[in-house]
Amino acid sequence: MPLSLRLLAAGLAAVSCLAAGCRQDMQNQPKFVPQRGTTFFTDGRSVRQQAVHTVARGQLDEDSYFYTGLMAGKEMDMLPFPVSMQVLARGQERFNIYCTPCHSRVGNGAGMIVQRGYKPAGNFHSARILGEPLSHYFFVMTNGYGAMPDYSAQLTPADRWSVAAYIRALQTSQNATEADVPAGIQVQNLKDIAEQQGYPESFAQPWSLPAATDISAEPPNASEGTPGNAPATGDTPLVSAPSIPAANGKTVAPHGVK
Amino acid sequence: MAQIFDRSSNALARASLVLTGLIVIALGVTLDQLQGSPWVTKQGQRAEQPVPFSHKHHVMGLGLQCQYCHTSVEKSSYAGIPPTKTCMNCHAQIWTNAALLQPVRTSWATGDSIPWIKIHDLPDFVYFNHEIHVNKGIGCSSCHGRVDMMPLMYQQNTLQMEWCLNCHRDPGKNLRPTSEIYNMAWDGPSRDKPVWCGSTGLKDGVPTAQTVSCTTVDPSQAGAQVASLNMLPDGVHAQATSDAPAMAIPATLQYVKYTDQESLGKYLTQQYHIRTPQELSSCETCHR
Repeated sequence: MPLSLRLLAAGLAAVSCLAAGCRQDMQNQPKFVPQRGTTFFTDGRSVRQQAVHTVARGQLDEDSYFYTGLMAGKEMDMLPFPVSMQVLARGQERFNIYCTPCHSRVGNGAGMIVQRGYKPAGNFHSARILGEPLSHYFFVMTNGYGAMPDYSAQLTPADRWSVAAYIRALQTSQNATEADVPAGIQVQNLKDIAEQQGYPESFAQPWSLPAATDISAEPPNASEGTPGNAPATGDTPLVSAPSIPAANGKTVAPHGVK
Repeated sequence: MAQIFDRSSNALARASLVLTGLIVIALGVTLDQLQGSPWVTKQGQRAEQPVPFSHKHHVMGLGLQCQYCHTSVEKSSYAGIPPTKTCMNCHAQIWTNAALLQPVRTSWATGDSIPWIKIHDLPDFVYFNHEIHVNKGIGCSSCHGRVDMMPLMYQQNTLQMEWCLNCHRDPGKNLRPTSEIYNMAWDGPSRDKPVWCGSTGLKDGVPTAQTVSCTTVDPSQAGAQVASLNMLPDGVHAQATSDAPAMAIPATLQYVKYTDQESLGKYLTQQYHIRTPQELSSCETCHR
């Protein structure tokens, strides 16, 4: 073996040992960072969950209309703060992130997830939902509704109100007349535009869901099963959760299943 | 007394001197190449996750936004791995009997976390904050690559100090309008795809992101809705439109057209109050 090769091998070995040693001590320090596990606690979480029946500072907010969407136990048709273009813009941005997967961009309840087999989401332009007071939308986002899970973790209360306000704007947009826009602004029918551009007439029509909504990108296969069309958790929990024997011998309800 | 070394040893001695130099150089080059190689940086390695989650399917296929799962990216140092509940938002009803999703259902039923393997793992002695990057014009794809095209997640860039400094020394080359942060297809303005930007004039109490309004459709033309129906000629890829609303754009906003990254970067550096390269590349910016 020539000297050069031997030197190289020795050098490499020394450096890789050094590198390995550094990685352990400095790169992975024994401290808690968000979402890093730990062996210190038995559940392996470095972030501790809030103890039950406690209220943290800044969390005592259950009574206010702003936090619950309820006034004396009833939904009201008003926003707890003045609406502005910035509120609507924020609402549109949040709506497009968190609501469109199911409700679609125009709010007709035929979003992509629904097209892939989820229970059809609410159509904001249906008579029933049009008739709901504004805080109903806030309440649904906070607590969930039917098959819809709650989005209180994703949306802050202020964001939920903004989205509720934007839903109202969306509803108006689908039934707007020329009188609703300021004078002097050119209004054109979407159908006419589509026609000018050479699109089929159906381009500007409302689209409807196919009768069977269990569409999947790939054909079902035996080992993976088919996309389920099962009812949501809530009324009839879909996940048949096993009961976990607690330390004191009692069984506790599994986390997350009502 | 006879000489120990033959006269021919002179050549050998000279040759060994040269050879020693060469070995030192070769060693240096090898180690340098090695420390930046995927073997060390783990670039491109697909870890064996508990569930083979496909960003491609969920982002490109279904159109989910980054923030649908990574909720804390705009307001915290870490983007956040979603809780199992986020998975169950859809998978309570879809693919309910898929064997691949068994770890998700088990986690949901028992309350245990899904042990995902972290792909983008910075050393603990580096301070990194997502919030400041996405709110001041650095898009997801600038660091993470085209995540919407990754069936299995992997690390696109080295994440080494040299790579960080590359941008911190000249942030303008990667800046984009804050309305395009989550646009995976963004590749900067060009002659074919110009960007128009204007300052909204809002200053007090407004986030930096809202002081500039940028658009990829000519604001001097008729409404944006009409423009979106117009398909660009073949061969010109339309700049994917972002999800950020156009904000409350004052009608009198003065738009300037940008056709190259350098001029746009210079403008945004100024508007977003990006600190100087000296400050950004100083040690205590990232090691604190």
